[in-house]
Amino acid sequence: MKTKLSLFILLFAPVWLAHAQVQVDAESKVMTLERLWGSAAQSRDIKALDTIFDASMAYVHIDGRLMSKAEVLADTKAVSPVEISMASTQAHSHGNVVIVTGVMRLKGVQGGKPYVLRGRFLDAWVERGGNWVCISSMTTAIKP
Amino acid sequence: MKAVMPLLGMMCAAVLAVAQGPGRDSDLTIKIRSLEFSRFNAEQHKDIGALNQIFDDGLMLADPNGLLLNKAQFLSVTRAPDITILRMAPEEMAVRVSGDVVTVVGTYVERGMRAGIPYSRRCRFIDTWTWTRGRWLCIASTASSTVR
Repeated sequence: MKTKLSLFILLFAPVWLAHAQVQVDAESKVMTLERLWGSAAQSRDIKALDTIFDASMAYVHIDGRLMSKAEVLADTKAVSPVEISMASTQAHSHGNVVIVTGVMRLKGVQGGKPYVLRGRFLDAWVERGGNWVCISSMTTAIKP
Repeated sequence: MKAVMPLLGMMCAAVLAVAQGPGRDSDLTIKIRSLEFSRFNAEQHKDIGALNQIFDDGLMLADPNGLLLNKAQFLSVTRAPDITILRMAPEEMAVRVSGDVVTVVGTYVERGMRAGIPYSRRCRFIDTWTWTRGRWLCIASTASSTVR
């Protein structure tokens, strides 16, 4: 029995360790891209956002609008400056997909009136040709 | 040799599962739509066994109030006796296939009783499905009751 167990560990431990390392790397890369997304949205860096979003991305804004990538980029250009902060962010890897969730706080001024919104975001990322891109994102308003 | 046989069996099963593959896009769209209908039906009828099969153990779910739930928490909330869902059904669904990842963007309607008080809501949702260990599992689900 001990021999069987040792053989099993010898065969699969390196595979399992390599797999775990790949997962950690993927989650770390995607978390970096999430931070980049936040700062790019804040500074309206459309070029950076263009590389982060997949062409087929589905995006649901905190106000309930379903938008395409082109619409998100156009909206980012058009809106007044927004201060974005994120908290309680966590990532979970499923092979070539990483799911990220967290709480987002948006602070800005619209129509001369200041506003603060809090929402739960959940984003899905996939690896395409060595790069991670966001394929879907939804922010749900957190009800007080 | 006897010790190696079960290992070889496991490896063959893994190879077969990969070879079987996730399926053609058109078939896959039908399959995932069917799984979505099953999911809403199971949620309405509190069919925990079915939901357990549909959702991955690593599920991340954001409910329409912005609350984050893992699989165990979601099943526990679904089981809660103070909530009765009288109707829960998808209205529209767009299925996007990207290799072994599928995204479903849609809306659903829900009507029921919570602590004796009737409620109804229309939500937008995004579900993410992946081909895992030879079958399709929902790994993430998010919904918002703000639909524009």
